[in-house]
Amino acid sequence: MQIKKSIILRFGLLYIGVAALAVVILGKALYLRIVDGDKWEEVVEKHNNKDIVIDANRGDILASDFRKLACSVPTYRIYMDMRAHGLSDEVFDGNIDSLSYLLSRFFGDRSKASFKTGLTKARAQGKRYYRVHTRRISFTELKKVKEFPLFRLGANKGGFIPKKYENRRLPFGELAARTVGSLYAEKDLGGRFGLEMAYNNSLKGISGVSTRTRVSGNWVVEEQVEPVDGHDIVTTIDIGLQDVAESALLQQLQKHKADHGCAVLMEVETGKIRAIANLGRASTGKYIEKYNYAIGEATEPGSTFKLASMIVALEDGVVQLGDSIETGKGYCYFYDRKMTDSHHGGYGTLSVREVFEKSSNVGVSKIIFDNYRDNPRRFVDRLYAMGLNKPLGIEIKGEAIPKLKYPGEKDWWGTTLPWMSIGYEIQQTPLQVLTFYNAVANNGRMVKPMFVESIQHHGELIKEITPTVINPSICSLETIEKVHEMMVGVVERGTTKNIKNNRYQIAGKTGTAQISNETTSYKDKKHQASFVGYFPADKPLYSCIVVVHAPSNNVYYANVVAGSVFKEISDRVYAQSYQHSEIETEFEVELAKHQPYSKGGKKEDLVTVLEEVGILFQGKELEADWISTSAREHDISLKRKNFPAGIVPNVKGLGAKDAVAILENMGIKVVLSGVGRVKQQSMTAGQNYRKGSTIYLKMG
Amino acid sequence: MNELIKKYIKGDRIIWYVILLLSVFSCLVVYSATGNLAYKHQDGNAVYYLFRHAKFLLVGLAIIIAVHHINYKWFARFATVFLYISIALLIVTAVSGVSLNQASRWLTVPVVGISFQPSEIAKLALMMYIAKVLAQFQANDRTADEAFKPIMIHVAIVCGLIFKDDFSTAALIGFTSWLVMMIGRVSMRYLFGTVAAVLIFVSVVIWLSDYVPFLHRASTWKARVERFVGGGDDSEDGSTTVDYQSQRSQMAIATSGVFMGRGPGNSQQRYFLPHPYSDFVYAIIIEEWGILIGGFLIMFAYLILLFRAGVIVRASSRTFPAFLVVGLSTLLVVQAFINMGVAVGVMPVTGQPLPLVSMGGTSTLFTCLAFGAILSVSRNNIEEKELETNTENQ
Repeated sequence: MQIKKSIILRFGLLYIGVAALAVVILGKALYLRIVDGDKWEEVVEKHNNKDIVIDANRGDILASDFRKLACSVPTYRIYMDMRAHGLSDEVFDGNIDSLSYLLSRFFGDRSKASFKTGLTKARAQGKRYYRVHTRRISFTELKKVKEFPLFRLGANKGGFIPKKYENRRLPFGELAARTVGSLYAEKDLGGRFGLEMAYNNSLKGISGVSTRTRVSGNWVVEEQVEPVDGHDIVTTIDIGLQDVAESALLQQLQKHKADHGCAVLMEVETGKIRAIANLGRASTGKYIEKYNYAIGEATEPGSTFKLASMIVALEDGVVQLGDSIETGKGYCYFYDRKMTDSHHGGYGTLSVREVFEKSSNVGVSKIIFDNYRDNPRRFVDRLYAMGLNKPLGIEIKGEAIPKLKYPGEKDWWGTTLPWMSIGYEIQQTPLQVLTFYNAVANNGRMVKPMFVESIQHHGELIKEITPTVINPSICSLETIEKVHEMMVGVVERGTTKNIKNNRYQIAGKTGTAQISNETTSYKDKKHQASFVGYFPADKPLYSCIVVVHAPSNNVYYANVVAGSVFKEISDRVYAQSYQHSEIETEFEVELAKHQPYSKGGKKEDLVTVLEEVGILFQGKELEADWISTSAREHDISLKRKNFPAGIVPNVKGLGAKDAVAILENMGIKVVLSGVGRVKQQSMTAGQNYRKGSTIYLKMG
Repeated sequence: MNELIKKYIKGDRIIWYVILLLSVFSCLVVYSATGNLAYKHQDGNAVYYLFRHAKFLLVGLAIIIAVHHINYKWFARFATVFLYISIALLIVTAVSGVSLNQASRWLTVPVVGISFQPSEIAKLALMMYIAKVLAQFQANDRTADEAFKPIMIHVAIVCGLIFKDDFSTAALIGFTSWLVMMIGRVSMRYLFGTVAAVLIFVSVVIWLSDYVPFLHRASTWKARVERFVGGGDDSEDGSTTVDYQSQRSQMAIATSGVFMGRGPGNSQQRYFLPHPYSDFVYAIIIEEWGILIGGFLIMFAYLILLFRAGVIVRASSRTFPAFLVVGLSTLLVVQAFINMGVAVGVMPVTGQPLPLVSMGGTSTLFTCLAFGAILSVSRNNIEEKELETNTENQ
């Protein structure tokens, strides 16, 4: 029995040894879990479940007629994974020839052999991310490329990797580019300036999340949160007017070799900005939308500020329009400083009205200095009450803050009051000046400039933006009447007779300010020519400001430089609204009283139908593809319908099929709503269009 | 049914429960862990490997039933022949074995086309041979030192044939043999002398590995051991490196739970660990079933197996069956603990499967053979005892 005991004892020792090892192993497992667990948990999360952010589509920035000012266009670059799981030699070798051939034909700049060598070499090197071609291709092109041999096998078997790039496009190029804004190159940062930045939150949408988990050796992508597309921003900008503003401004800038300038057109009642052009000279000499001068640049406005001075004086009743003011030989002294008029030799005695119309510096400063010298606060308080010292608070970032000194401040001199009255020693931006004039045009009601009318989501209204009133009444209506009369006088009799016309009246004021900055003093003859006003004077619809900065040659008179830009814009606005009503009536479809109504359309088809049904009609002999119809008492009369190239046709009264055929053939995209015949079209007939723009047709 | 079980299932009941528990767990884990493999090689037919494994287990069950009905005396009688056959197979393998993972470990049986590792047979044969030799030299008043020489010669031959291509199995066999000799009352002088000799031999081989191309795999062990001793830093390169394997394995355990893990079928690391269904099956068990529910239960099963082996040894009236049970159970348990130790990272990475749990194909069958032999001894003991009580009663 001794042997057995000894064996069992030894076996017992082994057992203890194994049990000790068991404790060690379990201990280590618990240690891993309890001590290192969190650390590993993180690593595992990182390794296994990969969250992928699905970018939301950024909304578009639209003009007031829903044409796209900025939109996102995806482009793709083709890469290939040469070591894709299912890409066997057999598959690769079997398809490489046809693929190279198609690629060569598609891109057109490299031979089939060149593609083949490139691909084969990359395959030999086992590249996982081989760029097939440098060019980025569009979505439609991508669809084509996807069907190429090898590529059509997909990512796993064919190694096909299209990389998406989101490009922000401005279909209208430079038009209002600075106001529309741009994006940061880093997608997450969103808008860099302009409306892109101001409305970034609405535009950007909400990105979705998908997770990647491994299921049976395969990565499976699951969409957890669907991305929500960004909203579209409908701006107040009218592309036609913007185009006019930009080109008129450009012409003047080029003519006078100016440094920069801006032109802003605003709707009087609502403050809607219909056009905002900002052009500056680039180092190449070309003028580009390089800075939003209208919003960001505050300068001494010069004579345009005389309106504010006159309002204060008239409101306080210290002068009447008929009062005489002695302007003498065109100069006078305030303490030791000489005030001069631009008109050499002076005007002698002028009425208050004439002082304004002729823009006499001596006259205006005398009125203000004589009446407010003892209590300058009274003068400045009124200016403050009208809100001229405050920024407008527009949503676009970078608005310059106006500067308006207050008596008692350390840089308030004895000469400040007279010079301030003619627009010096203060600073305002063009948009601030315009807003003030617009208030006068709007019977004293000051509205905030408005850039965006509504926020939409795929054509559905999300939020309508209403005009904001800054100051319901800047002064009495009586005073408004008076200054209005004076401003009409400026164009009728005064400094800006050159823009006078007999179709409609303009009211406004020129301003020619001498500009100083750190490097140039007043003596260097740099000037800022501006004209600000509104039209038609009898029932103001639009206000407009044009500022041209530092014309470098001697033609610095505001009436010529800025006035002509103003005139071109106002002419176009006037013409457009006139034409508009004309077109509407001309193309109005008459409804038949006796004969059945028939839609206009393709002549051949229509004739067949009419003959078949047995309706009398005239005009069978017309040689035309498209005809319009008008019902008369006993028959239907056919008229030739022309669709001149390059101009949006009038498709009102046509059936959907015909309207779409005509428009799409011209390269216009059509979006239909409703049924029946075309009742309304979003692009006005007769206007110019660009290929690829969208027209909305309302049927009814 | 009960009758049927009583007729065919004999021997230690608790060991049968252990076999059942391990087999069931085995199916659960293998099903979960072979998803990746099924996707790669079987077009995503997820149950392919489960069915294959289940088939092997069923054949294995048949083997256990068949073997445990054999009288253990036959094992003693054929031990030597069995050993020489397996040595011959090892030689054939070394010369012409199918090369897998740069090591010739596998031999394909012609005609049938089944591959197996001859070292699996050699393990069992050697344990039978050792038991036989030890039993021959047991005497009440002295240690069994005469047994040392013949045992050591055969252990050296077997290990010598294996170690070049499969160091861990050679070490497992050598270590188990050493343990069995210790239990078989060989004197400590010999045993520690052997330890010293082996240490010297191994260091020489490792030192030579850089110069002798024949010993190519030695640099792998060296690297593994060095990394293990060095603490396994976090260099993240390629998925085949040992660092990566043990890191992933520890990750599996660390992200499990103290009681319950991620739940069956929810392992994450199965997609990243190489051989999650064999070498690292214990990590997957813990990841899915938790440390105490999954990890402890499996470990406890092996501890019970060893304990029941002790019970059988005590019940044995002869020395050969006692040593046979000692040898086979030690072999299985040591192998199991190596696998578990590797999974939690207390041992350097080796490729030892977890007996009966890992998906191993033919190795499952040899494991069942061992269980069969253990149960055969148990069955004999029980029947002997019944006979004794019967005669006493009569």
